[in-house]
Order: sequence, then structure tokens, then C-alpha cells
Amino acid sequence: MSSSEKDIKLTSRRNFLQTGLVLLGGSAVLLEFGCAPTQRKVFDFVDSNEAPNMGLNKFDANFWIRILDDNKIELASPKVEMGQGVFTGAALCAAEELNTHPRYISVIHPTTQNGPVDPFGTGGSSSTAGLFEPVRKAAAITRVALEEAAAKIWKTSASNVEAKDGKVVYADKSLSFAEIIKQSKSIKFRKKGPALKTRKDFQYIGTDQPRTDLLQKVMGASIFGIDYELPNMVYGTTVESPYLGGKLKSFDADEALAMKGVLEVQEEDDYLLVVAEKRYVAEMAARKVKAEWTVNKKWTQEDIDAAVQVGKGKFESIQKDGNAAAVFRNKDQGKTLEFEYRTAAAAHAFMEPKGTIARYADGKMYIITGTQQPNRDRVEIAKKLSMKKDDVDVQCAFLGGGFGGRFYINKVIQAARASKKLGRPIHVLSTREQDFINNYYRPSSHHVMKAKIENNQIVAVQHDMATDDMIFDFMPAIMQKLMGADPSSCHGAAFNYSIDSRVTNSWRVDTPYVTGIWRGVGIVATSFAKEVFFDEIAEELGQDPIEMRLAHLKDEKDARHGRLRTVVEKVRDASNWKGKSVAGFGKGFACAMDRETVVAGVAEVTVDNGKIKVTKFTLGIDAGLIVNPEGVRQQCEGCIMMGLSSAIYEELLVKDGKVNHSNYHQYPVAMLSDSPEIEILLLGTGEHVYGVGEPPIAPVAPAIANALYSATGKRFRNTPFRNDLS
Amino acid sequence: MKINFKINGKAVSVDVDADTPLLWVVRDELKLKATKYGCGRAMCGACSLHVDGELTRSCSFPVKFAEGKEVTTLEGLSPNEEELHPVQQAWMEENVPQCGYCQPGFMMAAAKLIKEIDNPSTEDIKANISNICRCGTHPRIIKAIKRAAQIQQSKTSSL
Amino acid sequence: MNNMRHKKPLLVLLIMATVFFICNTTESPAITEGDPQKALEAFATISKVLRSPRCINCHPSDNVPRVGDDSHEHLFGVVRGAADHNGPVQKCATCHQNENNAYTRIPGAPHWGLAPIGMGWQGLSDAQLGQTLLDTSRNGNRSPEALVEHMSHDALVLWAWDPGEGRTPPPVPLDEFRAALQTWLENGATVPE
Repeated sequence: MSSSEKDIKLTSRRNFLQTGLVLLGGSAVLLEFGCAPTQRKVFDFVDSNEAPNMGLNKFDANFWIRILDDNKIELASPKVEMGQGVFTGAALCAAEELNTHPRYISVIHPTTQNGPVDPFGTGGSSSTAGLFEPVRKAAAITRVALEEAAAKIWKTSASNVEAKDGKVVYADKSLSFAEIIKQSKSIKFRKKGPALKTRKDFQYIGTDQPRTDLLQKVMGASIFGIDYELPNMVYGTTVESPYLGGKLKSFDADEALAMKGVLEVQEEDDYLLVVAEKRYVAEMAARKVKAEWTVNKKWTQEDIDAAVQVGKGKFESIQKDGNAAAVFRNKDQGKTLEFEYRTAAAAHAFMEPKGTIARYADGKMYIITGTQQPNRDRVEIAKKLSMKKDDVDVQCAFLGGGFGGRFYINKVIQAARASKKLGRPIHVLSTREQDFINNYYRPSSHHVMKAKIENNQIVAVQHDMATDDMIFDFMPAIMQKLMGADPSSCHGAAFNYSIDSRVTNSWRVDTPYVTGIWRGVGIVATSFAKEVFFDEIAEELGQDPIEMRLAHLKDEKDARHGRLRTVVEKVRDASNWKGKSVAGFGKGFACAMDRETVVAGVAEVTVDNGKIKVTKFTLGIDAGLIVNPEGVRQQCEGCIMMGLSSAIYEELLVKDGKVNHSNYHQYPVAMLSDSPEIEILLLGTGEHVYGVGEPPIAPVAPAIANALYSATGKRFRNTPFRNDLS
Repeated sequence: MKINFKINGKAVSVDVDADTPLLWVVRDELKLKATKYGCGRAMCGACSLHVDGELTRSCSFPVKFAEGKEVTTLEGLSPNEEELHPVQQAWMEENVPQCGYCQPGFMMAAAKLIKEIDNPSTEDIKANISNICRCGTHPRIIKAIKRAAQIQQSKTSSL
Repeated sequence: MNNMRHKKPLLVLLIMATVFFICNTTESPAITEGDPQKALEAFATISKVLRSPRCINCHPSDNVPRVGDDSHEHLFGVVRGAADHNGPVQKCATCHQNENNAYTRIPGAPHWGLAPIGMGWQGLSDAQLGQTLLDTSRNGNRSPEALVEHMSHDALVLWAWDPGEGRTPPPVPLDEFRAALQTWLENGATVPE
């Protein structure tokens, strides 16, 4: 530890983590009563508000920012970098209040022991938004502390000095931050920081900045979890059940053990782990293990499709405005439209398979892994290996993609157990096949949409959706009581359009595989069903789909309506919406509100020889104040590509008791050849930063489906469309 | 078995099972970690490198076939950060990566592409690179490859 | 000096081999009139092999290689390309090496690639298949003898009988196939009308 680190590091991690837990406990006590109206309120709160930064509100500045001996400013990010650009966003926030160009700031992943790690993980489009306040606060407190220390050295008032690009300047004199620390007996941090700059004063926030990790990633630096090595490390490959719910019955590992370089085969409750000196040997030996599995039931896709059905499972009311039941009952008046929609289950299929390096030595566990939940990994190891939490330290490394798929890394506990048994560091890596087969997935969904049309007006709408849980497994059990419907699975299920009677219901069903969050969570499904349905309503009404949407965004109490109207109009104009139509070519529109972020998109498609080609996608977004426009654009592009991929190609099917997709040849995803021309319109307003990692995915699938209808006259009510319409 | 070849211009000798994929030799024996394991079935391209100038998916290339050959990984594409290969320079200028995991493979494919097709169209790029990216950097990769081709041309013409 | 000493026997060997080769292929043709019926029967056996996925997958009549026992189109945009080896960037050898790969299960054999478009066999009748085989303008200017030699001994052809896990070899064993080729040749290399 350098002297400056020693001087500046004053507080412990424990205070910080406890804050998060106390806050959660607090909300749990407040909302203990689980009856339908309360549940709806809680659900609505969680569904429409930005993810709270529990645990990040109270902190000590020096826990977040360190000035190293070489005057490098190191910012420890509580949120992990999985490609979403949070390091760059965080650097901009720190730069703004340190009055120092972002290039002087390096952002790192702290370990769970030595820096701020968000106890609730990284996800929910909340990373840059979540760090906007606390990082600026930490930076402002640090700046003031350094300015005051410098003033003391120069024996002048702090108002005479100014921090600038890693130095504090006073008249013609200047001292680097590191120099100030070296020359000061102690650095005093004020508890209450100075007033933070507002939008009009920003010099870095809101400017286009290249990624802080750009050079590392372009040079191919070893930055991912599975790139690391520890001395004396061995390699492990697991043998896991290919069957859903399969339990290990018996095995014969003789052939594997006879292979040169194989050290041992560890037997665990539900898997085996082959340990070898080399990765290749471990993998080849694992294939030689003959394992038998007990399977109670060999699930089929038909079983799953039959289970995921509105009317089955547990009923939960999500939205109940007006008197929809009576309106729909009255068959004498108006016309009822009713259509069904389905979305397929999906795999995350990120490029870096799940992997973990674990070292158990002297009663302590050290973990290196790419994870969205370092703290959960730490807690799980402590619990399962009967260790003290403080004896487990998790170092997060850059993630080779997250998308909600790294909230639980099965390799973490596997590696930890193995290293403890071996007394050597071990590198446990999923094969791609295991990443497809032994994992959790986005659940499939079924939707029944109803609308009542009277006098060419929509007077009532109803959305019933059936799907499995996404987040409840990751939450304390009490949350199920509090919210009723899973807030991730049913995210975006409720109607936002101005219609008098609106009803939304969830049917919680159970599928045989583990289901969890996937980029956009429920909004991928709910926005698809809702926005294709509204296209169908517009057709029934004989109205332009965009003008019809605009006419139903008139709730003046909901600021999002006005913001979305603006976005919709801009996208309409930029995409030349009413341009001439050609045979085999179509345009389609969809829009969404995802918490506070509003988005709209126009897809342009052609169908040639039965192949769908999205030729252009125009996307408009208002995500409030934009920290790094370049980063937001990247996220929008990512959502368009992933949304397109999910809409056209992705479906995870089960056959003969097994997940039927072992690799990319059986689970195709969008490739370069699918890449459309993309136009992004950034329309940031206000002083608040809202999420951008997921909202832009909401309009993608429905806009493509609506464009396909315009091109082919055929409605696409199920995803994936499968790229073979012949 | 001892196998001798050149990696990024340097002669090396490795003593491993001759069928070990070049991918794992490069990563674990030679400690060059830019080359990634993605699918283990030569489908995703994350492990792409060059063998005697030919684009090769190293997970499906046993190290014995490298005997006497010249292997180039992303680490060997440019001498240092100041003298970037046109592909790396273009990747910087277009701010291409997100998570970054697939990018070394894409860059190695792109380096081969601009060698073979000096002024590639969008269609040339789409038809000639089948690597997989999950973050959605596709539109930037296409732009960056076109830019890399331009950089390459301006470098050649200024010589 | 050492080098010089070794070169002479090598040269002699080379000349001998060439003479042998020329004698064998052009000056003493193995093709005889024989029994056309026998040739046709042998051709039926041969065509069974040529129609097996192992052979026809790389002899498509269009520009897309086929894969697997179900002969589905090769994924990931792989096409014939200008030189029958996919594009100038990604070639067959980007993924396929000189032998089957146990780790990735990717098949491989020397000069892995597609047969020229002229040798596309998909959708051909037996008569068309036979004519295509014998047409020197399409078969790489091969005489029936050279053709039999190719089909009996070429490493890529032989791969069909050692195709690796998950791929069914042709329905005729290699020795029977070779015998059928010989019979066909010895009886006039007749093909169905």
C-alpha cells in the first residue's frame, strides 16, 4: 500500500454494506401487508420508478476515489463494467466535480473487501444513472479536501485555489493531487460536500467521450475474468446433467482418470468436476466420464407451452383502472378485438462463457470472476462453505457480456468448493454447451390482449399475461407477498396509454428450467404484445398507427406522456414515416415507456425469398440528462441488435427432457449480415439521469413485426419470426 | 511433444499434447490472452488468429499443424500503442467495443479482410465475416472496417 | 558434398516413378470392353456412394455446401466462393484442417472444399450422374482411369469412410466401393442411358 493510499483510506467496507441492508429492511417493514390494491401499488412503484440505489447513498468519499503515488486518480466503481459503459459514465461524473479531464481518471473494479461494491448488483439499466449522484458527491468532497489541503500548504484561503486536471493551482504555483497528499499530515474530508454543478455548468457531462476501456479492449489486454491466472493454478471442467432436473445417479471416471495430466475427479451432489493440469485435458477427460442421471420427468416443449398459458398458474392483479369488466361484458355495444401473442424463452448467449478462478488458502477464499453480483457470490460462498463473509473476497473483472445472465454464476461456488478441496487455485470454465444447457433463461410468455371499440374510440383494454418468474428467486420471499406479480417478468405489462378502463393481470406459471432476467426483462415480451396489438387496433380504427398513439398520450399528470410525444414525433419525421410504400417493403412503428425513459422506433424491412431483412431502424430516446451521448448511442445500437436477434431468431426449446440448443449452430443470433442501417435520435431533457441499457429494446420486436405486416399482409404475433417465411 | 513455431515474430517451442488446440497453447502456455474461447466449435470466431497469414479459428487448429509456421495474434498486430494497425486505429476512432470479448477475433478477421479486399463495401463485409458479437457492435464494426481500409490506403499511398 | 550424393538416387527414383506413372495411366489402359451389364451393376453401387451425404454434401449443384446426414445448408453464410473454398477472407481452412478434430468435432481432410460447380450432383438422375462423371470438360479432364484412381485413393474421398462422430459413412464399405470402381472400369465404364 502506498503512503498516499494509507493517508486517504479512512473507512471500512462494513459501514457501507450495512447501509444497504438496513434500507431494504426498512422498506420491508413498511410494506408488510399483501392485499391486492397494496400489491398493485407496490408493483406499480417498482415497475415505474428508477431502480433505487440502495446502499449507495451513504458513503465516504475516500472509499471511492484514491489518488495514487503517480497522481493517477483511481475511481472504484460500485457497478461492474459489462460493456454498458458505466466506467466511462462514472469517469465523466468524477471528472466534472474534480474539475479534471476524464483521461486522468482510471476506473477499476474494487473487490468486495476493499471498495464500494453495490450489494444489489449491476442491472436494471441503473448503473450510470445510479452513480450520477454519489460519484459526483465523492468527487466534490475529494476536490474540496484537496483544495483545502493545498491552501494550507500555501498558507492561503481555499477560495484562492482551484483544482484543475489533477493539480491544484494557486496564482503561478501548482501542486499535483499526489504531491498535496504527500506534503500534508492528513487530509480532511467534509461530511457534507459542496453544492454540485447543474446541467448548465457541465463541461464534461453531456459531451461525447470514447470508452475509458477502449485502448485495453483494442489491444486485447487481459481484463476478463477467465483471462487471469494464479500461481500453481489447475483447470477444472464440470460434468453436469444434460437433463432438466437431473440428479447424479452413478458415474464411472476410470477412463478420465487414466488420462495423462488428469489430477482428480471430484464428486459433488449434482455434478462432477474433472481437475487437470491443462484446460484441454480437463475438457477432453470430462467427456470420457460416464455419468448416469436420475430424471423424474423428461420435459417436452409441449409441456412447457401448455403450462405457459393465460388462465393457468397464480392470478395476480397488476392494473385496474375504470370499469373494464362491465365494458367488456356489455356485448350490445361496440366491438371487442382479441388477439393472442407469444414470446419464446431465450438464452443470454454472451460471448464469454461463465468462468471463475478460486484460490482457497489459509482459511481465506479469493475469487476472480465476471459477475453482475459480486456481493451475492461472496455471501453464497460463505453460506455454502461455512465461512465467514469477511474471509471471502470477490474480485470482479470485466464481463464478457452480462445481459442479466451473470446475476448468478454457477461456476463461482463450483470453483470455490474445488479449490478448498484441492488446496490449489483452480480455473473452472463452462464449455459453451454448458452455458446453453446448465443455465437460467428468459421465460417464454403468453398474452391475451383485448380491446373494446365504441364509436371508433378505444374505451377499454385488457392484458392478461402468463409467464414464469424472473426476479423473485433473487429477492427475499416476503417480496412475493408484497408485490404479487413478479415485477421483472411483468415489467411494462400495464397500459400507459390514456384509455379510461385498463386492466392488466399476471398469471404466474412454473416451467421446468430456472428462469431469470434477460436484457429488458418483461418489457421485451409485454411491449411486443402491447405494441403489435395497438397496431392491430389502429388498423381496425382506420387510423395511422403513430397518430393513434399520439392521441393516446395525453395524460398531463404523467410527464412521460409529453416527453414520449416529442420522441414519437421526431422519430416519425426522421424516418420519413409517410414515404411511399413499395411491394415487399414495409415500415412499422412501436414505442414504450420504461420507467422514466421513453423510446420510439421505426423499423424498415424487406422480405426477399422468404428472408427477413431489417434495412433500417430509427430509434428516438429521451432518457433524461445524458451523461455520455456516445455511450447512450452504443446502448441503443446494442438494444436494436439484440432486440432484432431475439425477434427473428432466438428461441430456447426443450426436447426429450433436455434443452435442445447446445451451441450457436442450434441457437442462431444476429450477425453482421443482419445489421441494419441505424439512426439514433437522442433527446435528453431535465436534470435527472434515467436508464438506457434496456429501454431501447422495447420497441424493436414490435416495430419489426408491424413492418413485416406492412410488407407481407401477415401478422406476426409470436417471436421468433424465424427467418424463413417461405 | 515439442512443437516449434513463430508467434508474433518470435520463435517459440512448446511441449504439450500435439492435439491441444492452438487456442489453449496461445492463451495458457504463451500467456497471450487476447485470443478468446467462445464456442469451442469454430462457429463464433472469438479465437480467430492468423497462421501464415491465413485467418484461422484456433480452437479447431491442433498445435501440431503450427509446426514451422508463423502465428499472429491480436497482440502481434501492431508493434505498440503508438503505431496501431489500421484496424486497431479504426476501432479506436469508431469507439467500437462494448464488452470487448469478441473484438480480438473480429479485428483479426478485419485485418485479413482489408488485405484481401482493399475497398470493401458493406455487403463485402457482411458476406466475409461470420464472427458473433452479442453486445450489438455490428454497425460500428462495419464502419470501422471501411475506415480501416481507408487508413490502410492512405498509409500505402504515403509511402 | 553430402547433399550432392543424396540427390542422384533421388533423381533416378523420380524418373522411374514418372515413367511408371505414364505407362500405367496412358500406355496400358485398364479400360476394356467387358460386360456392359456388369459395368451398370457396378455403377449402381458407385452411385449409392456418390449420393450419400458424405459425398454429395460437397458436390452441390448450387453454391452452398451442405452439412450433416440431413444435408442441411452450411450455416454462417459459408458459400462456394471464387475458388470453391469459400471467400478470400474466411476459407474452408479457417475451420477445417487436414483431419477430423476431436476437440471441436469439426470434420477435416486434405484440401477440404467443394467440388467444382460442374461436378454438382444434386438432383441428377443416374444417367446424368454418369455423364457428368465421364465428361472431361467437367471432371477436371480425367480419363475413366484417372477418375477411378481419384475415387479410390484421394484423401478427401477416403474421408467419407472415416467421417468422425455423428456422421454416417456411405452405405457401401470402402473395399466394395473400390471393387465396384474396378469392375466398372474393366467392363467399359458404361453408365446408364
